[in-house]
Amino acid sequence: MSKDSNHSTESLEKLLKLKRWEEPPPGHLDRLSSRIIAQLEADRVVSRESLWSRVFGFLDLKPVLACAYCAGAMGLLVVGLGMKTELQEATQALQKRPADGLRMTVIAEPAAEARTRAASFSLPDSSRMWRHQGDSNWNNSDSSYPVVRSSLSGMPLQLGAQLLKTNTRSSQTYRSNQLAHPVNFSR
Amino acid sequence: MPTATLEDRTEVELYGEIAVRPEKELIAESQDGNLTSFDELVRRHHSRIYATVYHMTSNREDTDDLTQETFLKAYKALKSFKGGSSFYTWVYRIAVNKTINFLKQRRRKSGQMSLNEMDLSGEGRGHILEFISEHTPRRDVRLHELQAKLNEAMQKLSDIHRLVVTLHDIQGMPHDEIGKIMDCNTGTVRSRLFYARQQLQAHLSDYLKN
Repeated sequence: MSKDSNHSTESLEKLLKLKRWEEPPPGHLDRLSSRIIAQLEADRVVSRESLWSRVFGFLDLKPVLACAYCAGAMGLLVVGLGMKTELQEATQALQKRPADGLRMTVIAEPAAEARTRAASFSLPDSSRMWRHQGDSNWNNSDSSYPVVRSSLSGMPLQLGAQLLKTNTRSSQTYRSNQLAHPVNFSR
Repeated sequence: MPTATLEDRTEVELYGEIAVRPEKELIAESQDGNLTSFDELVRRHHSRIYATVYHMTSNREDTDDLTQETFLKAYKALKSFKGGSSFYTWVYRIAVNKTINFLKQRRRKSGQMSLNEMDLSGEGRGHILEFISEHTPRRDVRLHELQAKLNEAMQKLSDIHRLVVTLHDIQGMPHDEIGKIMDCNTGTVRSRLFYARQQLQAHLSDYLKN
């Protein structure tokens, strides 16, 4: 029994050794080695590729994601363009009509001087006495003329003179700086 | 007489005249990204790795893929190789783990065998014919039938038992080396080998002369 078993084991060992002769076709392993090295070189090239190439490569594999990214990018573009147009319109409107919609305050200068200046129609820039209402930096206690705070240099001289005539107040009012009259310059 | 481990054998014994350069040098250069050196390492070990994977899977195409993946992974992980074991054992471990994982997945899909031809041109022919004439009671058995039956019986073993048979009985690896690769002691290797042989004898009883 034991002898039979040993013989059978020996037969099995010999049979298994036959598997050593199962070999791939000649040159197959050399080709396999070349493929391995080629793959490693290709991996190296891929790792050197730019971030964009990798992102586009990834998106190529996932068209749904690519569509989602495209839609998102388009949305952002549209919103951006819309915001830019609005901003441009607002800027143009401000440039064309500088005081449009703004509540401006005409600060009166001493009446006698104002009359003189208005009569001469040669108002200096500093006498165009406008400032935005609520400007906290305004401090006229030590000056005889208010400081021009608003950039209204483009205003026609005639209009300025007219405004000065109609809005002049006493020097007392001027000093207390309380009776500032809002004027709307809409045409 | 104790069997010599792979480390005991010189590189010339293992690889013949190809082993001109020391392996440590090749490994160091490969770790620095030298693909030519790594190519040499691949060429030194690919036939044994290929054979092990092939005997585990009994499928040529799967073997090609797994061998390739093994060396690709080895190259990527080469920086973590500290030389605690031989490079050969280290790559073998990668190949074995990859193959076992692959076989677990393949079991769900039921893979087919695709066998390499037996080399009947040289030394192999004598061994095969001798075996057929001496050890099988069925003299009319054809070589391909025998090969298919043997592989079929191998595939019936569990992955672990097939691995032990492959490494020891087919590839002639010593028990302690197998223990290192499979991360178990020599006793476990021996008991697994004993069990696997019993299973194979049962499956191949028609082809084995008692």
